[in-house]
Amino acid sequence: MIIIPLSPLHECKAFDCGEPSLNQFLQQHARQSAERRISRTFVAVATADSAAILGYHTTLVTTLEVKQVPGKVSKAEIPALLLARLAVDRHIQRQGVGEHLLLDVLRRAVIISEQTGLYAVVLDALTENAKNFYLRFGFRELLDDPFHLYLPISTIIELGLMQS
Amino acid sequence: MSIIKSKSVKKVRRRAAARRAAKDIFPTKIKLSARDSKRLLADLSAPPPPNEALKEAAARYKQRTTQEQS
Repeated sequence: MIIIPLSPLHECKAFDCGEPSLNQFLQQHARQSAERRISRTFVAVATADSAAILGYHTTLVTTLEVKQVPGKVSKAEIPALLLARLAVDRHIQRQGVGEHLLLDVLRRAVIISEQTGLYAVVLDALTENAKNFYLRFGFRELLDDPFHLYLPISTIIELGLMQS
Repeated sequence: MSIIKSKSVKKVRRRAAARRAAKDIFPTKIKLSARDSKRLLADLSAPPPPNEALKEAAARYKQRTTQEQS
C-alpha cells in the first residue's frame, strides 16, 4: 500500500467508507479543493497504478484563535495542520489502513513544521467512534468542544517518523 | 450601465457563495475558549510525550514504509 496525491485516475465514485458525507467530499470536493490549493488530498492505493482507493486523508493549514490568558499575549493565532477528512473504504476497515493514513498525516506535519511555523495537528471528530480512534493515539480533547482534538507537533517529532 | 452592474452583482454574489461553501467544508479558524486556550498553551510549552499506542503505530508505519521502499 502506498499513499499518493489524489488524481483524475482514481475511482472516487467506487469509494464507500459507510459515511455519506466523507464519500461525498471525496467524490465532489476533494479534487476541486486541491486545484484551488485550499487543501490537499492523498489516497491510499495498493500500487502506484491502482485506481481503487483504499482510504484517503485531506489536510489544510488552519489557525487556532487563543483567547486572553493571564501573563500571556492578549490574543494570538496559532498555526496548525487541520486533518479535515480521514476515511477508509468499508471493505478494508479494521486492517490498519486508518492508522497508516494517520501516521502519514503526522509525518507530513513534521515536514511542514520544518519549513514554517506549525504548533499542532488538529481535527474535528465526526463521531464518538472516530473520536475514540484518535484518543487512543494520545490526541487531547478541548474541554469546551470535546470533539475538537489536537496533538502538539513536539509530541509528533519525538516519534522520529522522518527516519523512515 | 445596468447590464454591467447586474453582471458585477452576480459576480460578487457568486464569489460570496463560493466563500460560504468553502467555509462549510473547512473551518478557516478554530476559536478556543479561555480555559481551552490555557490548556493548549500549557501543552505546547510542555508537550506530553507520545503514548505507547502512538509509539507502536509509528514503529509499524516505519516498518511498512521501509518494506515498500525495498
